[in-house]
Amino acid sequence: MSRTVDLFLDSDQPLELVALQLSELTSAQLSASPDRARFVLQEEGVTAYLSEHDFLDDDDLPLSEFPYVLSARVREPGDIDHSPEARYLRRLNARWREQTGLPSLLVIDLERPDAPEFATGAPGPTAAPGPVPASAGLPTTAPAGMPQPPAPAASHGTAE
Amino acid sequence: MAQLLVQEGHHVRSVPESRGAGKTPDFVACGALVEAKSFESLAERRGRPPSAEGVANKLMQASEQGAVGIIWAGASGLSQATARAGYLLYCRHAVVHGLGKLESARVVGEGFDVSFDPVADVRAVWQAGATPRLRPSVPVRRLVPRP
Repeated sequence: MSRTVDLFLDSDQPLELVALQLSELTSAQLSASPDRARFVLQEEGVTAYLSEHDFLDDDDLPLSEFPYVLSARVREPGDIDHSPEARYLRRLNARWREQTGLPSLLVIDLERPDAPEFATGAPGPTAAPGPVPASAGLPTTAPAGMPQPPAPAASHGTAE
Repeated sequence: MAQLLVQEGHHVRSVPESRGAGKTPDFVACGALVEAKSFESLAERRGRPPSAEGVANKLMQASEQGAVGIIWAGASGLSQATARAGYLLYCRHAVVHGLGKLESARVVGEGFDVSFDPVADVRAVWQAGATPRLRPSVPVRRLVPRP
């Protein structure tokens, strides 16, 4: 039974530029599929696929507002909220918002928004042992060529 | 889910996760690539059962990886009517966006087990421009195409 953690991203840039932005936000180079319809991000043991999507809006998940999704399949059984994939994408989500000022939405298994108690830097009562620093594996400065982060924009989801 | 298919007489083996070579299905059952998705329990969902859109999204996701998509709704509170409505949404969506790899779909919930033929239903939607008449559930053994 496969489960995924999906980071939905807003951007008016084409897919290739979003992939480039993500490369600059991480220390990983995203590689394109042969048809360049999808990019693969591999870092810290997490594999995630960036692509456009056409998922439907579902209750409190306004997915259609986000043209792109970075989807990571959870490799191990257990609590998905504490999976390496969820933790990695939480950090990347925070970095995306901080550096681009663009909205994003982290979704757990296409069912619910990421819970606020799991937001970066705010471990909840059941948080996994050994919290990972918010900047672990991710650069702390704005990527070259990218605009400086504007004031916090309207955003969706809970991982502020 | 794999145990369910084994009990039904299918030969099931898991598929090792590839690294960077593309998305992989969960397992192979009698030669067919199977992608299994699930819904959290009603309690985990804070008392709110899955919606038709949620079912459609799971099917879309499954269609990227397997020829057979199975949704395990277990104790999620999903009703058979919502499962069917979600499948219909998926069919309408597939007319525009494509079926992906999906050739067979199945939704298992509390008290129901329904199967669908998306290839025929999407074709029907496309040809008629109308709502397909969903066939009654087919016998479970026919759900996984045999090579």
